Amino acid sequence: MLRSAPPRVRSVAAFSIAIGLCVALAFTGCGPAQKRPGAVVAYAAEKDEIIQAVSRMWAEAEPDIKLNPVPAGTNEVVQRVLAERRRPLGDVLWGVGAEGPSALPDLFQPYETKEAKAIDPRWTAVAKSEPWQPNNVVPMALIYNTKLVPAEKAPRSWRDLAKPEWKGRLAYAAPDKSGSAYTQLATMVAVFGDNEAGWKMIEKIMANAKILQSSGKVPKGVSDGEYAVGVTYENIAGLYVRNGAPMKIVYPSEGTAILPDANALIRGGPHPEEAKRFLDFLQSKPVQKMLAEKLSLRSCRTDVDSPPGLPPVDEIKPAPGWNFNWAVEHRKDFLKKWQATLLSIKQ
Amino acid sequence: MAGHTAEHQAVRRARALGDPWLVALAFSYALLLFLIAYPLALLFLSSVRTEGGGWSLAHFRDFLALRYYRAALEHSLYVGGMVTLLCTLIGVPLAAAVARWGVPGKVLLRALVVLPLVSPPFIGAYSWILLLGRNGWVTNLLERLYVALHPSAAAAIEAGTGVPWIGTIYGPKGIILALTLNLYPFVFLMVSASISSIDASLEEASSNLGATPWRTFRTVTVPLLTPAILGGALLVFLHTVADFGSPMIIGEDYMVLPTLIYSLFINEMGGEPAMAAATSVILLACTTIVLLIERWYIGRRSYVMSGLRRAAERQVPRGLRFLATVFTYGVLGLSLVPAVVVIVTSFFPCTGPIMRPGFSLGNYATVFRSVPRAMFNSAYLSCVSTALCVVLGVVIGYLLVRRKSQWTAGLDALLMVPFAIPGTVLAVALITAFNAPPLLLTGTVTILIVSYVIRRLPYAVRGVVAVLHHIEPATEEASVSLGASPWRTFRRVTLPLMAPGIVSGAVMTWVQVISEISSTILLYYGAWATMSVVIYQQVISDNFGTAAAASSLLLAAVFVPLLLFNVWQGEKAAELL
Repeated sequence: MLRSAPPRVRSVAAFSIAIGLCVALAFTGCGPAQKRPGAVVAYAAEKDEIIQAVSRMWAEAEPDIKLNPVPAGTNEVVQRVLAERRRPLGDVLWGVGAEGPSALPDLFQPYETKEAKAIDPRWTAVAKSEPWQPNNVVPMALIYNTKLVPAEKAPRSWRDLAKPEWKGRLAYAAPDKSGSAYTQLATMVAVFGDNEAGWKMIEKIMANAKILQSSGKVPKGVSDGEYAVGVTYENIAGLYVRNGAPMKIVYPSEGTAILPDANALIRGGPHPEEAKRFLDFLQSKPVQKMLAEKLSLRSCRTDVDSPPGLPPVDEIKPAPGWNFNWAVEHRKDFLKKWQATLLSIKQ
Repeated sequence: MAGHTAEHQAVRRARALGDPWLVALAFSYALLLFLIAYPLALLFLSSVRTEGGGWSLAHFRDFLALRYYRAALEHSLYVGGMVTLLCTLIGVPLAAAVARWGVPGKVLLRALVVLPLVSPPFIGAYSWILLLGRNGWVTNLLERLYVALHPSAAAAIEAGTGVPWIGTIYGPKGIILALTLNLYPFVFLMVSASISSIDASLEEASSNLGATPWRTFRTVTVPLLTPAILGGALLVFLHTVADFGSPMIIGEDYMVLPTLIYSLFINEMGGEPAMAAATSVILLACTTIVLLIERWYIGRRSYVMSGLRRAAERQVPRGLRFLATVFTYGVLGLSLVPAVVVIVTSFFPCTGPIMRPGFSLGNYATVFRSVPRAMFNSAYLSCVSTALCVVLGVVIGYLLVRRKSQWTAGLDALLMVPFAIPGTVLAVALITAFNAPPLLLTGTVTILIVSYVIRRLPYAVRGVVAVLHHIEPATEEASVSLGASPWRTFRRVTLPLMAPGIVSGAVMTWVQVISEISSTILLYYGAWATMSVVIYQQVISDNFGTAAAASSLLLAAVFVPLLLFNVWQGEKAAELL
C-alpha cells in the first residue's frame, strides 16, 4: 500500500480540482448585483401587456434610466421584498394588492408623488397614512357565463349567490391565498353583517362555491364554462369580456368594494431617486390615459375618463360598511371564521 | 456473493486509513449543511422568534387538533400512496417491455418517455381540464353519449353532476391521474438503468430450468430490481407529496400539505411563518419515515451480481411482444396527452385569454421576443446544474452504498430535506441566508444554480445508488489488490459500471431543472429569466396561447437533444438510458 501514497495524494487533488471547476462554473456570470446607475428595478405583479406598454413609454420619457421589470405574482413579489429585507435588491412594487404594503409597513417607504394633487381624493385618503400610492381603481364584481346562464337568471346581488341553483357552479378563490378574494369576503361580511345571521348567509354561499387556489382561475373557469358564476374583480373580468369571452360583469346591488391597487417604494432599495421618478411616471396622465384607453384599466386620476365600455366609477355603488382599513384590521378574524364555516359545511 | 477472505479485509482496513472517501464524506456533509441545513434552520428559527416563545409544541398541537390541517395531511398521504403505487405498476412493466420484450421503435421511444416529466408550469394541468373538466372536450362527448343512452339523465347532466362513475376530474382523482402520468418515467428510468446491469446468466438459468418469461420476470428479474424500483417509487412519492402545481389547478378545494404550506407562508400579507414551519416539519417527518423504510428494506438483502455480461434481447413469444407493444404505446400515448394538447393549442389564434379554433403562428410571434435569451438561460442553467449534480451525485451515491454507516444515513436524510420543503419556501430560506455575509448570492445567477443543485441532487444520487447495488465490491477490491489506487479503481472500474445509473440520474435532473418554476420565480432577476419564467409570466397574464407556444418550445428543447443522443448512441443508448 505504500506505493499507493502518491496516487492517493493525486486522487484527492484531482477530486478537488473537479469540484473546484464545477464551483467556478457555477459562479460564472455572478457579477455585481443590479446596482447599476441609471436603472430602476420594478417587482411587477402586472400583466405582460401592461409591462410591455408602460416600458415602451418609459423608454421614450426617460431614455437614460433603464427599467428592469421582474414580473411575478403578487404573493411572490411581496415575498421577495420580505426575504431580501436585509439588503433590498428591488426598488418598487408595481401593481400589487394594497393590503401587502399596508400589512408590512417596515419594508416600504411612504412617498408622496408629484401627481398627488390630480389623484381622486377617495383613493389618496385611503393611502395617506399608508406606505403605498394608488395605481388603478378596481371594483370587485360578479361574473356569469352567458352560454350557461340566461340573462334573466343571472345573479344581481351577493345574496343571489346563496341560491340553490348555483350549488357546485360558483367559483370563488381562497381568501387566505388571494388578496382580492379576501376583499370579496370582507365585502360580504360588510354587506351581511359580522354576526350569526351574516355568517349563516356566507355559509350558504360557501356551500355553493368551489374554492379555487388562485384568483386568476375564477374568470378563466367561468369563461371556459367550467363554472356558471364567479366572484372576481372588474379589470380581469374586463380583459376576458373585451376579448370576446361568453361572460358578463355584474356589480352587486347591495354595493361592492372599490379600491385602488398599489405601487410602493421599497425601503433601502438600490436606486431611490430613479424609483421615485418611476412612481411619479406610473401616476402621470399619459400613462393612466393609455392604460384606460388601451387596456381598460380604471384610472385613479380625476382627469382621465373611465375605460370605454365600463360604467363611470360613480355609477357603481360602494358597499356600505366596507372600508380598506377596517378590512385589513379584521383579516385574521374573518379568515378564521371563514375556515370554520368551510369545515362546518363539510361535516 | 463471494465470501470475504482475510485478504479482502486487510485491503479494506489499509484503505480506510487516509481514505479519500473520508474527505469526500466530510466535504459532502459540509456542503449540504451549509446549503440546506443552514438556510432552513435560519428560516425556521426566525419564524419561531417572530411569534415570540421558543419551539413550543403549540403549532404541532394546533396542526393535529384542527381538522383543516389534519385533512391536508391525510390527503397528501392518500394521493402520495396512490400515485406511487400506480407509477410502480406502470413503470416496472414498461421498463421490462422496452428492455426485454421486443417493443419496436426504441430510439424514438426512449426520447419520448422522458417528455411527461417536463411539465411546463401550470400548462400541463390545464390541458387535463381542457379535456376532462366540466366543459372539457372529452367530458362533453361522454355526456352526449350518456344522454343518448339514458335520456332520463339529461337534467342531471345539465346540472353539472357529470357522467356517473366518471364524474369530473376535479379533486383527488384528477391529481392522481395527472401526477401518475407525469411521474411514472422516474420508475421507468431507474428500472431501465438497472435492468441493463442485470447479469444475463441469472435469467437464462431460470428459463433453461423451464420457467416462462413471465415467471422469470416475476421471480428473478423483479427481486434483482428491488433497489431501482424502490428508488423510483421513493422519488415519485417525495415528488407527489411535495407537488404544488397539480393540486393547485385540479385539486379545487382538495387541500394538500404543499398548498397549505404555500398559503401559510407565501402570502402577500406576510403569512404565518411559524405555522408554515410546523407544517413543513410534519411533511419532512413523513418523507423521512418513508426514506428510512426504503433504506431498511433494501439493506436487508444483497443484490450484487458477479457477472458483468449484459443481457441481449432474446426472442420473446409473439403474444407477449404484442401485449408489450400495446401496453407501451398505450401508456406513452396517454401520458403525452397534455403535451399534445399544449402543442395543438399553441397554434390556435388567440386574443388575450380567449382561444379560437383555427391555425395561427401568432402565439409564436408574440412569444419570440423573449424566447432566445430565455432558452439560452434555461439551457445554460440546466447544463451547469446537471453537471454539478452528477459529480456530487456520484460521490454521494458511492458513499451511501459503499461506505454505509450512520454518517452516510444522516447524509441521505439531509439530502432529502429539500424534497419536503416547497420550492418557494426553500427559495425564501436561500434568500434569507445568502443575502448577507458570509456569502452574498442574491441577485446573481449562482443562487439559482444552488437552488437547482440542492433540490435536484436526490435524482442523481438515486440513479447512482440503484445501479451501485448491483456491483459487487469484490470487483473493485480485485482492482485495488492488483495495485491500482482507489482513485484509479474508481475511475476505471466503478465509474464505467455505474454509467447507466449516472445517465438516468442526469436525465432526470436535467429535465426537472429545465422546467423548474417555484424557486426560480423568487430567485431570478431580469437578465436570467428562464423559459419556465416566460411561461409562468404568460399564464399569470392570462395569455394561454402564448404560454402554450412557449411550452411547446420548451418541450422541443428537451426532446430534440434526447432524440439526437439516442440516435447517436444507437444500441448503446439502450444500455445507458
